[in-house]
Amino acid sequence: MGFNWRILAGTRDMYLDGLLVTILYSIVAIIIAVLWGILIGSINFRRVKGLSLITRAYTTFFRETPLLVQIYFWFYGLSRIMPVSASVIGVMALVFNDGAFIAEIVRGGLQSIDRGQEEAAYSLGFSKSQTLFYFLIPQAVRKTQDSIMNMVSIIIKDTSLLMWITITELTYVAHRVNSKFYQPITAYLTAAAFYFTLFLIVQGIKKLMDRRAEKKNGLIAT
Amino acid sequence: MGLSLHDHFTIFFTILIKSGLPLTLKLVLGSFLGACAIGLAGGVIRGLKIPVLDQILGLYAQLCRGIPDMLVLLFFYAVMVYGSTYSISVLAISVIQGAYMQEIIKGGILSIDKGQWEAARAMSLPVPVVLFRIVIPQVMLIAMPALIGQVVLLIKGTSVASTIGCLELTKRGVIAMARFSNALVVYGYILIIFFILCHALTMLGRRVERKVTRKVMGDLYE
Amino acid sequence: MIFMNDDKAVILSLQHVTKAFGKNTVLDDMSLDVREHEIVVLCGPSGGGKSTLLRTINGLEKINDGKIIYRGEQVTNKNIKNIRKHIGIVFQSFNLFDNLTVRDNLIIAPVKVLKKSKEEAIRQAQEFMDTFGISDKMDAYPHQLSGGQKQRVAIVRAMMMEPDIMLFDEPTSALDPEMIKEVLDAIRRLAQIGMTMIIVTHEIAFAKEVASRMLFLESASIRVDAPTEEFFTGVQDERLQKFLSVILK
Repeated sequence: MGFNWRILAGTRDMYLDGLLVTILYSIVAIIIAVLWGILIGSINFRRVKGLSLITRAYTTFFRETPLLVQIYFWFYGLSRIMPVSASVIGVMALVFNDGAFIAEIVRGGLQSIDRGQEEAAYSLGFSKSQTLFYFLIPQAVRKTQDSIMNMVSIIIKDTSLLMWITITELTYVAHRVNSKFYQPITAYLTAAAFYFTLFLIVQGIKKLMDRRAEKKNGLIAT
Repeated sequence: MGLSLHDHFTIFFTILIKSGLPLTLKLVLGSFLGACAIGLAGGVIRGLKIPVLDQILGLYAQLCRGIPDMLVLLFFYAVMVYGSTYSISVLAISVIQGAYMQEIIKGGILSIDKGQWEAARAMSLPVPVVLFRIVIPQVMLIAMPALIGQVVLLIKGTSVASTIGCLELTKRGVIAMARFSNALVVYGYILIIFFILCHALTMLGRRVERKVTRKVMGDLYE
Repeated sequence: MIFMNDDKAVILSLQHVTKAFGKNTVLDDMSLDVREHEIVVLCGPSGGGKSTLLRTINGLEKINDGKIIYRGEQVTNKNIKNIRKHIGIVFQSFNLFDNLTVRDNLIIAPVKVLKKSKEEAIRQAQEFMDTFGISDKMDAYPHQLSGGQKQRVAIVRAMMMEPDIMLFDEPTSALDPEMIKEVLDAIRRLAQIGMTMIIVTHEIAFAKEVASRMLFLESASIRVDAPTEEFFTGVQDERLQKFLSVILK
């Protein structure tokens, strides 16, 4: 046991490929999930008649069921009905699941905005949807940027479950390497180091965003 | 391809409820106890800012936030030669969830009014008395909603145990798929069962939160 | 020091105590003797070091220089736990344990620290609560009490340790005006039974009434230290006059 550098040298390309797949899925899922979350969160916030009943049920249900089962549900369920690739299903499952969490974050952010903002916008002649897009959503996103960045870290971790629907991401690679060489410490620790690096990068971006926001607020205050 | 009523009954009751659910509940209970033990010990150490240990536990929490549960579980499964899939799963989930519990409890301890500590010190109360009679009960009250939320995540997290062969709900579904090959039904039922478990807890969490608010804010709302 | 013309024993003695928070000196070479049955009131503008002085006596703040002597014994890190048992403190913000009932707040220290029996402690608590007119609140939680009630419970809690000396850190400044009197009455009662006290307060009229000695603290040092009568009439100090004229208005 212990760490085996020779194996690592031999499997370097596999890991880099896996890392690339993980990053790719993460980025695509994050972008769509944030947009999806803003959309659903806004509908829930506005209590759009009829529609918000469904979207609320959706956010509740998807936040309170396991992602792995959701992935199986879409992968084995949908593929019988129509031909969709595993990668589409993978992204879709992540977006539906993590998007529901983001929707709740955004809704909370929207609700925390002072009503005066909305009233001021109306008084200046903005429509309801203009108010939402120009004033409320930007403020809500800024207010909740910390929570949304946390979701980014969570989505990166969630991509690991896609290994069970044939997507060769980082955890899958680690699993493969281990079943080939029976060197669990080398195989899994390498992947863990990559994940942790990604996590630290996201944390770093989060801090940068915080500092920028602080500076901005400071400018307004003075 | 259609399933008869009897098939539905077999999947839902005989397979999922009768043979899958008990092990899922056992997984939840086992990892809950494990996570609480880790969380309480770690949380107190971090809350008291005991040097060195505090930093080590901080790193542990960061690692668990950055590395996917799936990878951790596979790693434990690979390195643990002895132990059932059940006990390996409980261990892995406890280690991951314990880190989150630890951070919640730490936050609770740090949020306790400085005056409470001072009053205790002024009366020369021994540290264990201060911890167990004053600090931990208050932390539990403050942190209860967050802890319940964490348990919901823990329940959902047990589904990954299926991937190492632990015969809980999800795994029962995967096996049933071979026989009934209707993913929407099989996984749909599993989602519903998980949802009921988690949602019941969320509702409980909301009630507790209202109670806590009342206790912290006084009886103004009664 | 001991053979001063006062025949009462010195309980507490601060000698050249200095305390700084970073570069900010809050206590600058302060010396003070407190004798048995004395009631010492500290007043002065905020930031003058009054609260810090009290807190150093109870070891809640460590001092940088000088020494604190309690009944002939120098207070150190080692014996502070023991000495605290004899020094009660009442905080501005009450600091009752929020998760415990009034009864448990009162008996926890006597039972766990003084190793008294629970029955004995409860009996004693009941007695004090009767004296202070809040005996019906034994089963209440702190959040169910008014500020004045909380502070009286806090006084009882400190008294439960049968202290030699009681410290009051602005006991009424977090209270609504109508509740101040009930807390001051409670302190008056302690004065009647001869409790030695050091009180930080802005209630000058009250101080005039109960204090045996008044101290005026300003910019980290004791500017005036005089018997009460003299403090209000006989001291020629420009700063003190200014402070009194503002506060008595």
